[in-house]
Amino acid sequence: MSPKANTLSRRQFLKLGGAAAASTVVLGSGLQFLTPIAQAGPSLAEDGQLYGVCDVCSMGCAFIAHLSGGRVTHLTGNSADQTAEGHMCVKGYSGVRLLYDPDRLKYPMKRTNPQKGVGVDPGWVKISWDEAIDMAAAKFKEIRETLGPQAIVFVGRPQTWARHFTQSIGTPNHISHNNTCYSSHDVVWQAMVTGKGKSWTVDYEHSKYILAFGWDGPGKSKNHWGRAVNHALANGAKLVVFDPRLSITASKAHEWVPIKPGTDLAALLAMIHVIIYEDLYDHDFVNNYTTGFDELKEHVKDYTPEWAAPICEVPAETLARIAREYATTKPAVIAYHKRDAGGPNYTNSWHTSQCFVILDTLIGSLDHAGGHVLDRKPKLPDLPDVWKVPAYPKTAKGPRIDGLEQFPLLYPLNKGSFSTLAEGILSQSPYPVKAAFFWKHNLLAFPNPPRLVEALKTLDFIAVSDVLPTEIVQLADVVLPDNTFYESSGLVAREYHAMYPQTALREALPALHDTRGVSGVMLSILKKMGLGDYVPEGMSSKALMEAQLKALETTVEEMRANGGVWGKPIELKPKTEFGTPSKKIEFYATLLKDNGYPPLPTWKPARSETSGNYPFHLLIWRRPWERMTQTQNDPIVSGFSHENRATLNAQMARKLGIAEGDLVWVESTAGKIKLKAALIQGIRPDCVAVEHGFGHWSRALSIAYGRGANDGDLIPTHTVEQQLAEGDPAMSAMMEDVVVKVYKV
Amino acid sequence: MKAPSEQDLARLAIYQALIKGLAYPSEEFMAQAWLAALAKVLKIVGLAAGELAAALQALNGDLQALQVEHTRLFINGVPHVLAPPYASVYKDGGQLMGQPAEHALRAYREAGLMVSATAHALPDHLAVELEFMVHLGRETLDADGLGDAAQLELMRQRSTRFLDECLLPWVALWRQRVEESARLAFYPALARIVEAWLKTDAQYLATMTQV
Repeated sequence: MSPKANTLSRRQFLKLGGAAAASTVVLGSGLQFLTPIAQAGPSLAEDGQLYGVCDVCSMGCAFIAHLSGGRVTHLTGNSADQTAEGHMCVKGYSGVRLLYDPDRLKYPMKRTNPQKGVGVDPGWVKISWDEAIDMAAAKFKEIRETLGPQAIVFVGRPQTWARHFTQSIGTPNHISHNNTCYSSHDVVWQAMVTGKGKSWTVDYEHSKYILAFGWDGPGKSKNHWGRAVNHALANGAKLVVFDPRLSITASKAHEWVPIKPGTDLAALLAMIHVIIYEDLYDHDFVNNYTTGFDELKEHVKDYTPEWAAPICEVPAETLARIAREYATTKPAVIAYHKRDAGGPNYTNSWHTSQCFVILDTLIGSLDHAGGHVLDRKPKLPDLPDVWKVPAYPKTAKGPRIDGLEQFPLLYPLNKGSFSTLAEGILSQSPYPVKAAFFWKHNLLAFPNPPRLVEALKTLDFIAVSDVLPTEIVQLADVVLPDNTFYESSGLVAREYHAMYPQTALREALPALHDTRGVSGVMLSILKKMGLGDYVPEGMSSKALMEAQLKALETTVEEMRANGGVWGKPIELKPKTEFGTPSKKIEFYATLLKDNGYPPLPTWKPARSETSGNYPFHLLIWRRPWERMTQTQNDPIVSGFSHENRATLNAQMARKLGIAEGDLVWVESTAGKIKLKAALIQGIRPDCVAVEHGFGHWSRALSIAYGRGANDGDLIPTHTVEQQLAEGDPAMSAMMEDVVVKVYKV
Repeated sequence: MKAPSEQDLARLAIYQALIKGLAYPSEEFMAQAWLAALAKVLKIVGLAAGELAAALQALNGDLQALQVEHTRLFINGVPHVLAPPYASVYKDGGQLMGQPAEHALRAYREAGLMVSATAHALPDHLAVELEFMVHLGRETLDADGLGDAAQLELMRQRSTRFLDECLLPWVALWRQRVEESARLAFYPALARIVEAWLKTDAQYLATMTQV
């Protein structure tokens, strides 16, 4: 383009009389969207490749985004990633369709319809970022000054800037999903091993015996765990899976044990009994690195396989044989992660998790090759390491709307309770809440979402930062569109990958739309609220990344030259001291005892037992190509599983007169959902299994809307008092401790 | 120096006015200066803006109603964004940034242009593609004014190619989606003008390149 020539044409333009000249009044001569390449500044990466780290799930597999003409045509796994081995899972490869989803939130918006609710059109209008931030800041400021900071609730991950945001405002209410996911493992590991949360690193690859209780890691496409388990199997390992349903992992196992739901604790106590009383445990490990063995031995005296067999409906000899195999095939490991039998699915899950730690300790596999390995990811500087954060208001440590502070072992882990939020808001206990900020947490992930909608409708103001127009966005007063992980940069120190401790580089594509990362948005809101002291000048996610690169003594250029990763080999040297008060692994957990909880795992039946009214246990599972509620708007994935189903045992279904494809109601005390029946052999007759992630009611999700139903509608919420009555230090949401009836529509 | 033809100037103005019409409605937008200009230049090429003017008039200055309509049709809406103004949605499986976006971007690159990083626009957004026609139109005028026959021919060819390959293949599909989904008369009227104009311009360019 020649500027000189353009000047000429503009002059010609002005010379004209009549109609064409009139147009110059309003039209001007500049280009709004297009710009000469030389003057463009930061440009769309057009052809080439970018390094990325997948964030579809928490595994963090490194990938390469291939670009052609400014668009990502496809992703490939990054072969420099030693753990993911140059591959992604089906969800990871599909993730690029989130980037290009036409339903994405593209600009800040506000609602024009004051009515809120399921099926109500918010009447959105596009607004500027200034207006959006002003709106949020003004409302939060007003509520903070009139009712106090605690009247503002933040729902989202406990990420650095989000924690800083809530604490700067002075609200104690930073609610994350922990008690629906892994709070039991976190609390147990804290009390027995680490003094903090659970370890996320497992060396399945070198294990010779993998024993799982409700764990379906490979079935959920946990990429490198699936790969590692496959490597182990190829190397002759044995895989044994206890699960009421023939999960994908169970279908690949040498042995599937269809245990009664919620009774894994009994099976595990019996295994501990066998290993101790048949003297199959690792004496050196137990003597050197543990405390409380004698108390444990006495405690499990009566938990024999014969005692457990009728409870869990697994023959005593099977329990004893598997215990022996597990103890004598070295190295062995119990596979678990989140939402398994020891995840917070049942009222006794935390005791189940205790048994997991005890068993891996008894056989000496904890923090050894082939077992669960303690944290060894590279330490990256965090905000307090690079900026002297001013003291936060004391109110940030006050009582919470979800009651978390009443659970002394869970509270310091800075997570939250999804199961008590709705009841807290509705009962205004311990105080009224009037505003909420939701960041990338969908309502369908909560127990009983209709109850939460009822609660959220009582608030004066809701701000939402998200990528897609999910259900919570429908209730928002202001929408703050977030970047996808393709449009964010940073370093990712991946704890799941810590067998090969590599930090991976995430390079950002320019944001496709007028979106902003939530961190910067939160800092802008703080500043507008008059809390500028908490806004570090010059400190941003980018500056933090610079500090992290410096700490690793590397640069982006060097990481690029090394294939997008940084890593130095670290020899696996088992720890000899642990984070407990005794510095040992505590079978008899003093932290639990000191806080009023049983220090040793004690049999406790599940909260819900089947009856004539509710004869089925509810099981929840996840498709390999679906990531919770986040992938249902994908045009290809939606073709793999159009809707979720009520999966029943075929013989049982026939007895009830239910045929494949019949519409059935699945009903609990909390609610009921309508699904098509699917009949299979591989499920216990007393169970019904429902896939999670479906039942979107946001019509703004053009593909996900109206497909299937949400399992969460069957799961009750709880009051804090009800949670306390369970005597569970992990405040488990008990997502599967639910019984239901199933009948034809 | 040769004076530019009124037809060439008019087509430039039409493209510019249509971009204004597709912009997010503001107070200035409601004042209708852009619409008056559009009506005048459309007349030169034998098209009318009466229906569009009547549709805007019928709003009685209700800016928010038009903003809600714009947002639900083109940005985010319930149920879902109804008529996304991106070629890829209509010509490459429904997602953004498909082959048509790459195609448009390569045309911009060939002309020494790229999508501005601050514009928050995708290469195959209708307004961006119309703006590229503005750019080519200006280059055409310049070449004509300078008597550079080769450049004039090249610009006319590029204009024809971009219209044929990047705009015309989807504009009718988009117009149809707008007509099906609109609650107000304004955007269907605008979409019909966009489509009619692009077809008219294609015919005009064909005539000019044959000369």
